Amino acid sequence: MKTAAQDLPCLGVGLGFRDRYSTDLFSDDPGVDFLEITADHFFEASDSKQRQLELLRDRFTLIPHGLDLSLGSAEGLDAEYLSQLANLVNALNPPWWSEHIACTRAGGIQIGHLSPVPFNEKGRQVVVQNIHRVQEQIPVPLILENITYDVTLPGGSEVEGEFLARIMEETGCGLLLDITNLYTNTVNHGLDATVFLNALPAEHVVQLHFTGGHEANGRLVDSHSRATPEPVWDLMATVLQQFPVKGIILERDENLPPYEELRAEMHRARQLGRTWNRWS
Amino acid sequence: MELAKEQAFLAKLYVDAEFRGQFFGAPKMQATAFGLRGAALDRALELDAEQVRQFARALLQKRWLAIPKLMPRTAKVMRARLREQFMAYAADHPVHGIHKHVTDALAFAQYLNTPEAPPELSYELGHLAALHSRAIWVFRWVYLRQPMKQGPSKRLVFWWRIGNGPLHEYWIH
Repeated sequence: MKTAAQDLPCLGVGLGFRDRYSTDLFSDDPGVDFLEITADHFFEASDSKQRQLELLRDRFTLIPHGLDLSLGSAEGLDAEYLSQLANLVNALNPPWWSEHIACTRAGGIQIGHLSPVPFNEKGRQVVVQNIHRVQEQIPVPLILENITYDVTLPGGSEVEGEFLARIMEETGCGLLLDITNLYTNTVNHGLDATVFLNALPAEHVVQLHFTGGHEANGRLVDSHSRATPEPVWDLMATVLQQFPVKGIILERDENLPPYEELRAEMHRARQLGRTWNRWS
Repeated sequence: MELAKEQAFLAKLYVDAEFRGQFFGAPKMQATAFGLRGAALDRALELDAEQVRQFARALLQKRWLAIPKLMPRTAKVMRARLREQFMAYAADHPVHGIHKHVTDALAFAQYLNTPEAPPELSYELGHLAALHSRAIWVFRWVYLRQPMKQGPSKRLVFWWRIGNGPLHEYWIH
């Protein structure tokens, strides 16, 4: 199963769905082309949550975004989580869905956040094996997100861009390129963004994430809590010039501003995409 | 599988403050006691202590973000003291499950439930129990702060739901 961007529909620019903006989204002109929904929020959904999902689905293309599949877990996948995810994604039948190259669970412990996978052959084999298992249950194209990380795991023999590229080649998955995560890692770990981007197979870069974080103790924190900073916009322009991106999602989670601020950021991203002929 | 063992070790390091302190106090002994050998042991000894502590702090902060939203009455009264108490509690109490934020908040509320706790906590204990259990009904005595009188007043509150429907709440006078 190959997820070349050229085979997927162009969705434009959208927003990670948050309850607070429900009224704005159902206005006459929300300025949103599609929505990303957090898959976990719709597991074991109450009647009202299910109705919400149906209303959203009637109005927007929805891209489910998983948080806890833990594709990097060497002990394998959680069968119940995978089952719930499969039920949701297969029912929605979106153009694609997404998860992270990360480990969120190991040894009976739920870490509570995305932690890195070692950038080496063993780490890659684990991710590829888990993805193949997922693809047996979820035929919808899967795209994989790069994460930020506090801990640089010893024993990495590949640079991150190369590591991701090889996973995409071996699984046929696309890439959800989180530009803010990439920028955060360049600041916190000295990652070279140009080297990272040049390692990626262009035809596999399907969607982008962007937002702003904050600085604490001399480090950038990927808090999804601030307006998008200019270096991230610059990086977005570079990425849109280089890759045939099909969609961009503004991923604001905390410190939620008035909707007009998010609309303005989506508009700016949409204009950037037009500059590089990604959409009309 | 070696990587599975290593990841289990890392997960414990991230969420268990006591284990983390023991490891960085005696890295080789603790890693060996956990069962790491050879190259996996070498990698554990190369871990950057400050990076691991930074991630552990980030995990606690992420858990904390949900607490004021799920315990607004107690958060309003306790303010910064609530965060202090949560950070002390969370360091030794990892959380599990799909609806883990509710599980976490309920467990924390039960931890706070001492004679010194503010009366507002009584409401949150009932509300969170109703959210968490998904039982048909839950009831609890709730204590309300009364500014002009001595001591809180007591009311009985019922929470109920039908099937997968919304949670309802009714206060008995």
